[in-house]
Amino acid sequence: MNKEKILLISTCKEKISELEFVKPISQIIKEEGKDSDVESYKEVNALVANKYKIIIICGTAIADFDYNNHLINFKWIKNYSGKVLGICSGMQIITKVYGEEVSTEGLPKIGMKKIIIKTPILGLEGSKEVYELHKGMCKTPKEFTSYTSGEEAEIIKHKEKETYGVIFHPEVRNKEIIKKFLELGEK
Amino acid sequence: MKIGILYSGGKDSNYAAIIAKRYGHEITCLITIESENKESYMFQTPSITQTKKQAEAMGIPIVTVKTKGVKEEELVDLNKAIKTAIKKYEIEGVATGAIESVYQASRIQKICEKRKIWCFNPLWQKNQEELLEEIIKEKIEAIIVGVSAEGLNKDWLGRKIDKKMIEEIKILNKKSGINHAFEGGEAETLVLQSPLFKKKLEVKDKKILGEGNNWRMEAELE
Repeated sequence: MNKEKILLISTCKEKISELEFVKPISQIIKEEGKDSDVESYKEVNALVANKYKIIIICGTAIADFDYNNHLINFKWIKNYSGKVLGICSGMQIITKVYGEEVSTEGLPKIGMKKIIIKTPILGLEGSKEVYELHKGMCKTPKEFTSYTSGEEAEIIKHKEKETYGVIFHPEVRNKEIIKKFLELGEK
Repeated sequence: MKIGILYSGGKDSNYAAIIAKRYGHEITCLITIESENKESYMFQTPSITQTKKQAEAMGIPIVTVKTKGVKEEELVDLNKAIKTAIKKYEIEGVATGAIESVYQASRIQKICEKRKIWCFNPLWQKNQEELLEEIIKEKIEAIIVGVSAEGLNKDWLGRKIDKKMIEEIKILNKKSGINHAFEGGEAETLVLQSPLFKKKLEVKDKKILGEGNNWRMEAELE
């Protein structure tokens, strides 16, 4: 039954942050006529994930890094055959699961930023303004392709699977990305 | 967690306070910026001095900082207010009523990041029609104290947000694109009663100022 629903994985330590980082995404899903379930990063595992065909790992507050203490709960991503989109901390989790570095040394990225998309992906092409709220600078894992110019990975996709990551928050100014990702589930 | 509410006295910051409390956070203070610039991009200005009376009604201390309201420079004053709240009321985070404004939210996020505290925006990206309905459902009694948009005039000042008004706003939204929750500054509100208030406030006195589609009410609450 869950195969028809979308799983939203919360990476929020503080429950109130889910109103900011998970609820806007469940609202977009609802507007698209679909349903979603929410599971915490503390509880998710392969058994839970495999009940769903589409999974979105949502972002969290910029002060929140507790999900890093539970990365073991995300090991299933490598073997998962469904479609995954990691948003911000979600992309950082994907990057780490695939063994690549996420540096928190640089300055925080907060606010609107113009990104240049090298190859069209998830309905994006050319240059786009996106909303960023993060401290983690991801390197692109070797199994993935980076779709933007610049050293920092901002949009990545697995070379063989439908596993995506975006470091910005598409639920704020780029809702079409989430809608496009949901359409993938219909194929 | 001990938190401070970035408090304008309007419907959104009051609703954010209710939610923060509902999620188990302790509101140790309110934080208000009183801007001399009535056109501030960052802060509400009509009836802003009344936040002291609202804080009193809630029994919560308030940190108030005055600013000249110069774009970007006013953030120094917000930073100062948050710094005081951290020191005096031991806040570990702030909650705001930001809904859609990336301009406001990102600037507040930057200050919180710098001060190493949490930032919560429980109304962020919320459907704005739903938000207005929830304001009524939550028994937040708010009146209009500022208007600045085509289709709104001084007759709106002092009006209570109720179902009738929501219907009128829906029509105005279709006609002239007014933001349902007024977050574009189309209108500003002042809360007289909320579940966090220990007593209801009333408008004792008022001054109406402005012209054209740009009006504000400076209320005196008791």
